[in-house]
Amino acid sequence: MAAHTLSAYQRQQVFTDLYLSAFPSVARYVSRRGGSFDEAKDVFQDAMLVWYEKAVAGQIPQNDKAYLMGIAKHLWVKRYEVNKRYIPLDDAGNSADIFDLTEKHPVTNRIMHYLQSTGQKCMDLLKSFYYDKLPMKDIAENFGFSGERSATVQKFKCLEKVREAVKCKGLIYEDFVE
Amino acid sequence: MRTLLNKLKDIEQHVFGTAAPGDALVFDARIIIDQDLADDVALQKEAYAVIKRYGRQQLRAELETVHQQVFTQARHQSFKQKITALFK
Repeated sequence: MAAHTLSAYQRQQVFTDLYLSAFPSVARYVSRRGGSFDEAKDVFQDAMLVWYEKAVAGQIPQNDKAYLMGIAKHLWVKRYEVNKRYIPLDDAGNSADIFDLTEKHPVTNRIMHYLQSTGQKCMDLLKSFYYDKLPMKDIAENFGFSGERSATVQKFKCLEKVREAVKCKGLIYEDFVE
Repeated sequence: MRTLLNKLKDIEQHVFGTAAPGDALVFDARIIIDQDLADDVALQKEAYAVIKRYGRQQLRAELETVHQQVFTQARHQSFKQKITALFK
C-alpha cells in the first residue's frame, strides 16, 4: 500500500481496516497482562502513529498487523512492565529510537495555538508536505494552486510564518519559568 | 521575498541532506563562518519540529475519530463485543 499517496478520506479507510484487523490482538495481549481498555487503546494508537510515520517515509512493513503488534508490545513493556508505573509517551525519556515521540520543545503548545489561529491553511499545507509527505503535485491540487511551482512558493512562505512565530514566541520570560 | 525563499530552500536542502554534494560542502563552510546563518538553520529546525508536532496532533485526532466509529457504529457491533469481552 502506498501510504504516501493517501488522501485524508483514504487514510481513514486504512486506519479503520487496521483497527478492525490488528486491535483485537493488541487488546488481548494487554488484557492478559492486567491492562485496561484505555491502556490498550493508548498503546495501539501510538503504534498506529509509528506505523504511519514509517509508511509515509517509504518503509512500509511487510505485515502491517504483525508490525503493529510488535510496536504495541514494545510500548506496553516500556511503559507498564519495566518500571511498573505508567509513563505517558510524550514524557517517556529522551532516547532517539523510533518509539520516541517525546516533544522536546515545551513552548510549541503556545506557538501551535498561535499558528492555528492565524493560519490553519498554512499549517495544513506544511503538514501535507513535511508530515504526510504528499507529492507537491497532489498538494497543489488539494489546495487549489495553479501548479507545483506556486504551491512550492506558498510552502516556503508558510514555513517563514512558522519561523517567525518560533522566533517571536520562542524565547519569552514565561518559557523559562514554566 | 525571492532572496528569502531561496535562503529557506538552501537551509531545507542542508537540513534534509538533499543538496548537491558541491553545494552541500559550500553551505557547511558558510555555517562555520556565518553565525547568523547557523542561527537561521537552528530556527528552521525548530519550525520543522513545530510542523511535526502539528502533524502528530492532527493524526491523533483522526485516530480518535476512527476509534469512536468502530466502537459506536452498528456494523462494527461484533468487533465491539469481542473487545469489550476481553476487559470484563
